[in-house]
Amino acid sequence: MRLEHAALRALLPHRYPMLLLDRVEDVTPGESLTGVKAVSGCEPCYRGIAEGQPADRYAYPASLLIESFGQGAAVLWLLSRRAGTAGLPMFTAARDVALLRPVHPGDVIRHRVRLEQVVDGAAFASGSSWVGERRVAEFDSMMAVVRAVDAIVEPRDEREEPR
Amino acid sequence: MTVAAPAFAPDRTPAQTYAEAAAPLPAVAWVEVAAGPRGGITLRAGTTVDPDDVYLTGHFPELTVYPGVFTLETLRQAVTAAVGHCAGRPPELHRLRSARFLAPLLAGDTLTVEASVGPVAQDQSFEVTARCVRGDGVRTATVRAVFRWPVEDGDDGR
Repeated sequence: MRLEHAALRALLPHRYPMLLLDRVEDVTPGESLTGVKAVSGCEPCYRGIAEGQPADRYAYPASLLIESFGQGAAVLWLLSRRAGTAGLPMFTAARDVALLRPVHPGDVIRHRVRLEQVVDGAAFASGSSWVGERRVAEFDSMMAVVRAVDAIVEPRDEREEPR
Repeated sequence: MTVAAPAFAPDRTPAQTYAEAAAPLPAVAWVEVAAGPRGGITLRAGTTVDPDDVYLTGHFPELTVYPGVFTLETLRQAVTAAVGHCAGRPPELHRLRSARFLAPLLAGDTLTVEASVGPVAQDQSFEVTARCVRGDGVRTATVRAVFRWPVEDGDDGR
């Protein structure tokens, strides 16, 4: 199954410029997914670079690469959830993520994502990101949950520092 | 242990750090650096979640939530400002050993990062252990990561 951008917008609550997945080339819901993210020099992450910086400073931010992979994992998971379970997907944990090579404007990233397990409403995914034949990142474990907006904006005066 | 590796050389403001490399947002407003054990350093850094930031308007339109990956971005910019460049290059996030995001950061929330950094290993890498706290004292994240300065002329495998 292939998902174009309109389908991703319908699945994910993220919007420009934080919707960091362009297309899903292939997905087996609940099992695996190959997602595509094309990096462009037009993205706002390049707007603040001072003139005259060397080429290596245009490496795509690791934070956005991890988020893009995570959105692929979210799509894979959300496709296998039953309809009507509203909320925002939240990235809650990661373990052993390796950034192996820089990605630059013009590169097309392919995320190969596997859904490892879903336990008590939390999804665990793993996989890798590629530019052509080169692996640019590895993800041993990424965990996400879906939280209702009301639960995210819960009252704070009852909270205590968990030290 | 004496290593033939670069020493930490804090010499940058957060604004300079933001302007020197691609970044989704200026993720640090202030940084304080102090000497740590064994040649390492400790840092404190902070920012405030700005709902008008261009990336945050898309995360999410219905509710501004500072993404977990932006906490990593705050840490990266704080580390870069705190340790300086080596051979003209800023440090990069090489390995995220673990990250746990424990509580949300919403519009107007302040984030304070407290981290121990280093010492520097022979391969120009260094460990960073950070705890992140919201303005009301709630811990929002813990992160263990390895940063490194890339060697000159690219160790990127190209």
